[in-house]
Amino acid sequence: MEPDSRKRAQARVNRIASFKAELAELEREQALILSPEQRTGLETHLERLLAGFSREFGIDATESARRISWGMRVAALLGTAALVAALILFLQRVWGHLPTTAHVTILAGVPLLLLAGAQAAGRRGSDPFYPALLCLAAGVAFVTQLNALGSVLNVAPSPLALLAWSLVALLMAYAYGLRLILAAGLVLLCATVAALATAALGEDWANLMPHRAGFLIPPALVLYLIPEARRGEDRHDFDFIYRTVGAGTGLTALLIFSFEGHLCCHGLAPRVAAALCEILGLLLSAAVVYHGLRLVRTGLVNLGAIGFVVFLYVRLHAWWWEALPKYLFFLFLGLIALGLVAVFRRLRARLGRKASR
Amino acid sequence: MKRCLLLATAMVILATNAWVLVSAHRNQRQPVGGTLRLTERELALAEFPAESTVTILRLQWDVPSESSRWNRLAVWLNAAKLAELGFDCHVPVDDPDARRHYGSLTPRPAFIVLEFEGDAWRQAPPDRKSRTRLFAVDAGCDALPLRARYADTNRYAMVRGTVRLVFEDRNPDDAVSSRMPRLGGSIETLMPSAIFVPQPHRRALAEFRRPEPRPPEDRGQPPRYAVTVSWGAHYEPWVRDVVRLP
Repeated sequence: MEPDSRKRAQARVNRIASFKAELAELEREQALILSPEQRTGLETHLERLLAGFSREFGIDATESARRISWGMRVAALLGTAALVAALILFLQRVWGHLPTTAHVTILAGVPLLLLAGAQAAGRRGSDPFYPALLCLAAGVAFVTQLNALGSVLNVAPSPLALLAWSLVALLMAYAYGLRLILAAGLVLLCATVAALATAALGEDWANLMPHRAGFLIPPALVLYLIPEARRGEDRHDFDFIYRTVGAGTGLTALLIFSFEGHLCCHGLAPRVAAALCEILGLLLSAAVVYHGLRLVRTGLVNLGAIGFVVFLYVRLHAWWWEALPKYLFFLFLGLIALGLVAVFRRLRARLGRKASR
Repeated sequence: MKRCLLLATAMVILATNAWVLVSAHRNQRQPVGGTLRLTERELALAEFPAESTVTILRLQWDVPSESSRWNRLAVWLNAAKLAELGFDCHVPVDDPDARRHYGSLTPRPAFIVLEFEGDAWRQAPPDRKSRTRLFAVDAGCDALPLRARYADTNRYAMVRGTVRLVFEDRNPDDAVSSRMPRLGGSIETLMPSAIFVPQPHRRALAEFRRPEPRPPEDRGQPPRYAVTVSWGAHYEPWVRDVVRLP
């Protein structure tokens, strides 16, 4: 089953529910009165449609069915967490009695079994939440198993493990259209690039933060620009994830340098370097807000706004914390916050107008 | 398309596991890193929940140090050795920019030479002597010259580790400002610093795990077991033998 078909069916079911509610309201206001034949024909048609969607896509046709589905999801999430805990505790209990071949087989088998479970759940055509949950469990299992295998065989940690985790997350994300797992995979990809660059300099890659946070910026920039270069349909709204991860990672690296100015821009005084990073962070945050407005993406606008506020507060702290009485400092902060609220209200109105067009 | 992506995911998982297995196998083909017979003093049992049957030994090691404190600031990790390890030590220590420069340097990986029951241990203060007989005595970027210098593989083990440069403004022992700042170095970690004990060696250690490993007040007592550990072609360890000591 194509995820798009399910999405379209879900959208149709939502429209039918809205239509029914509006029809009831119009009848109450006596603006539209259907004849008994028309009513019967309409209700039969809608019931047939909803039954078909429910049968084919497992879509919740009513509000109560939707609530029950959410309950099932929460129960499944808690159940999966409990089962994983049970498995780990059981393995700890028997681990010492098992030979190394059994260790390797179990460790490699668990993520593969979970992956097979995700495939089976997807094939059944059930709620896409369940394949997503099993993929998440498979990803966590792969991270855990590789660490455990390294411990069992006394292998020193390698930055290539980050690459393997990233690849698995990206492949699963593209297989099932999973945005959360895509975000995890992209963050791991940025970490891989930074770790390999640190190792290439002959430094300890495990200590790349905060000293080599700058290595995160080029891959973050590439991620942000990928949607601009990409052609074709963005079925799962992955472009938003690329931009969000790119902007979030890049701004985080700049924020680290705005606290640790001595770690970047050799040749400049640490305070000057920190101030430069803060100003650059402010400008880039504002650019992300602007880009988000142009794309009509609230998430990107919010991310840029959070970045802008954080960098602004860091800069104001550096300027005024020592120079001003504390009550004045906080008074200025409060006034600036109110000013920002006014700006964001205007931005929100502009977004609303753009969306309605 | 989805099937292809899932197959690729499974292949990545399998290939990664295979790579780790091959790497471990190649490591254990030849103990070029050395083989040491260590005791409970140097390989302490890691604590785990009572239900767990996992047995892991943690390397207990020390460094020859000027300070009597239990730290990892090695006396032999001076400016010349740090420069040899790749640290950028060109800024004079009394330069106004020295603190910023040396504070921005990240730890670097290195090969560490561990000496068992050697001169470093014999010359250590009594309180440190009783803790462990395994001392880190040298480090280098390249394993072969180090092995040529420390050729006795039954006394010197070569392991992977990371070295951190320390910029000392003050002498911590004197609690007063020293006349000149200086550069020192510490061994931040050995990789790996914990050694998994597989079957059948685990059985010999099982009785020492319950109810918990030896409490701190018992340290200084004679060791109860000895473990033969080898470091292989990738300088990663594995347990060869475990015996109970009388």
